Amino acid sequence: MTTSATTVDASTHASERSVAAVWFDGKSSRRHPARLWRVGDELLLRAAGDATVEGTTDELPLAHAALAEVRVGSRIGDAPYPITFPGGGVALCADHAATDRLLGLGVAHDTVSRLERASMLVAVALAGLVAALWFAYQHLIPAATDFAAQRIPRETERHLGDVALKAMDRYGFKPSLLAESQQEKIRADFDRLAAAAGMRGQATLLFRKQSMNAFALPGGTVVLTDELVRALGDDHDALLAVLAHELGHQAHRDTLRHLISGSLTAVLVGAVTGDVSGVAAISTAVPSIASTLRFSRAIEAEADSYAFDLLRQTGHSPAAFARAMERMRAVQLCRLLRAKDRAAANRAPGPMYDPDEDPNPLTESSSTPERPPARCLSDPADYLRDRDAEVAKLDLEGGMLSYVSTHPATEERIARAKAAR
Amino acid sequence: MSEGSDAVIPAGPPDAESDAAAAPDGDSSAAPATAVTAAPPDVAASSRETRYPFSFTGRAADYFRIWVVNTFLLIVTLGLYSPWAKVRKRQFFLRHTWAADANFDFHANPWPILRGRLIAGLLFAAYWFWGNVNPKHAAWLGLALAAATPWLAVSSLRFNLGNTSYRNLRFRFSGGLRDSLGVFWPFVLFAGLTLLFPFEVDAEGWGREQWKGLVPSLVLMLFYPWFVGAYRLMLLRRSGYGAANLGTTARVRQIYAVYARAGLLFLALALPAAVANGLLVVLLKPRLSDPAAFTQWTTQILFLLNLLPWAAVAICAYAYTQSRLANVTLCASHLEVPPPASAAAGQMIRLHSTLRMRTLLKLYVLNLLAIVGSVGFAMPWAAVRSARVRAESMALLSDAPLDTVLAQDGLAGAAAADAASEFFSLDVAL
Repeated sequence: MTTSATTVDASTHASERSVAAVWFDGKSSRRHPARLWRVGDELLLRAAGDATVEGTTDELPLAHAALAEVRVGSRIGDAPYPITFPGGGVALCADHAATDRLLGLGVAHDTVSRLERASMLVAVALAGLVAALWFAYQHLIPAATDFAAQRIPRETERHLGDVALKAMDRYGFKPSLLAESQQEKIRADFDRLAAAAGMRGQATLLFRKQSMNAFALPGGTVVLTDELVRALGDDHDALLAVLAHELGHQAHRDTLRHLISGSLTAVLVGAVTGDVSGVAAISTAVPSIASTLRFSRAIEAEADSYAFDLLRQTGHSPAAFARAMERMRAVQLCRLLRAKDRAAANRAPGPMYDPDEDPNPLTESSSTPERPPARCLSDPADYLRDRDAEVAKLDLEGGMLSYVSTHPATEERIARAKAAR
Repeated sequence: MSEGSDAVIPAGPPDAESDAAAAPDGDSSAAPATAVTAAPPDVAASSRETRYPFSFTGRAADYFRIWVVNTFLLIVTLGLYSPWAKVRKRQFFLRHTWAADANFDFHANPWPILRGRLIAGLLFAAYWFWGNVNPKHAAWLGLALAAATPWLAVSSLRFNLGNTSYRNLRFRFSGGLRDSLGVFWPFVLFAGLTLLFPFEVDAEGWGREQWKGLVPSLVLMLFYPWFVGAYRLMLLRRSGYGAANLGTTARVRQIYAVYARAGLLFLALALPAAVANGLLVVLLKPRLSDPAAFTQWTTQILFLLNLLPWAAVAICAYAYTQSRLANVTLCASHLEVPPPASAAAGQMIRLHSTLRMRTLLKLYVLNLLAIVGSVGFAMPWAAVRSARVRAESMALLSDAPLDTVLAQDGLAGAAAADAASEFFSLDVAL
């Protein structure tokens, strides 16, 4: 397209040597319909009425510049090409293909735009995007989490645990009612386990009264509730297995990792969903929550494995962990069944976690007349006897919702503990 | 920094704000001969005002490609591509926004954006992490961020408006720290009050300390409409296009009136919502509490169903507020074009907005359903739809043949761009 204007009849080849344009000079907001002409390596802009590059009148062109001096902007969607002239004026050319030909723009021009327009490349980028997200989620975030967690001082972690404990004591954790001698006995076992795990003097066991639970706070504190101690009753090894699991959380610094992983996931989700605004932004919480729950299930499984090793190492059987899980599941099933029975008798389901050994007069006085009052904590098996069909139904319905659970499926954990023997 | 980012973009995509600031002249002589857009200027019956409607011509398929490439590059560069992605996204939305046969454009240099985002990212990470480690420190950090927000907001506005053009003339924002402090002080007050009256839940009951803990939130609620109004008015009073200045006759009390009416609407819809709620409970309770169907999730499902009518009421109130805020502020705003040397009087170009609650309601609900239903892949479609709805609700009105707006101080594009991207013009609006 370097034909000289003087040798070719301009009007017959106008479309080959020029494109329609709109000119904004940058000095005022006036819109000038125009035509962009190319003469050799020179660009000339003439008012739209001029049919040839020489112009029909004696008027000067609106602008002119050497081809190398103009800046051709990136092409986006079907918006016109902005071509910036040295003086600051801009010519907008809506016909992309003709402009490409006129200016002789090669493939090297505007890489990103070419990427966007090539369907194959977009498909590859889309696949790459899914793969990159998967990789980040599966490998990058866990690796970065471990890296960061190992570099945060224990002191900071302990401080975090203290704050959490204070909050819990304020939110309804009550002092333990267990006998001092029983507490001492459990604590001695805990210390022995901690020493075997290489955490002598770094792990502390606390007792509280709340729902049936045991959990690890950042910085070495493990909290055990009266209800869990009572649920496991005489099975001392089962209690040890639970404590070994919590020591696993301590060894892996899981609270800290959870925190860091949550932050990184939030950043990733934010990067991808930055576009969403208004009401639809609510939907961006879904991937964050799903990922947090998945991470939570993963660290529980790791703590289980740690507990199996520690139990074997200290001369106990991992089967004790299976017994602990089975017992806790029995307690939960008993409570679900009790709630169901109460609903059938047209009563409020009652709190799911109230310790039945310490009856609450408001809920327990109205126990169902058809069945004996359930003692789910001390003897769940009694209440579940001969009701296998109903129990199986409860179990099945729980299994379908494993993606919204913080812990792996109980059956899976029991099976792993039995296999770890 | 949740209040920080909200503050920088109070309502919807920032492009809407730039659109609000847009004000071209018309083509008094050239327009009839060269009109190419589908919507030619029409003359309002009541006066001799000509109406120039905004339109948005971007296609979801095109934006989907941009979005995929942007997001892919963003991920593989670990987020460092984000300024380039932002510029490209803005260019897509602004270049496809048209009024009176001309489109907008965005010219930002990505490097200062990268610098601003790295700084903002570090601050945010510090706030997030320390907020979890020690809430006490987080309150102080929140105060520091709240104190920095006014400055961040004006520099973002200066950067983003200064890099936005229409007909090759730049917009500008000349607001300073003083204007910004006048807008953001409720947040500084809120952060300070949170330090004085920390919210503490006590299992023992609801005592004097707990009532005091509500003080910061109540104060914020009281001043929130004030903040929303003051921010928009600052934007409309301190912005300009070329040598012309934007102005508005809207008042903060009108914003309070919008929120008050939204509150009344909420109350009016509360009755049907309560009835719907009751019906749901009556219809579903026997089915769900049937012993054969009872599961551990029954209570959760009932809880969510109970929430549904109230979520509908909340979305209605939100759509009402957003549509009326746009209409109240934009319809009272205008662009004052200074008179040319030869004439005594300049001209006035009015902004006009006719956003309807039901339009926004439909937009919100469809976008939400599409995004959730497509696992996020409908996001570009939702963004394009939002831009179209916003553009099509706006117009420019002028009662005289439109004269040319001149560049400010004869500054051409490039020089104006340099002025806008000086060091302190950080862009942190994500």
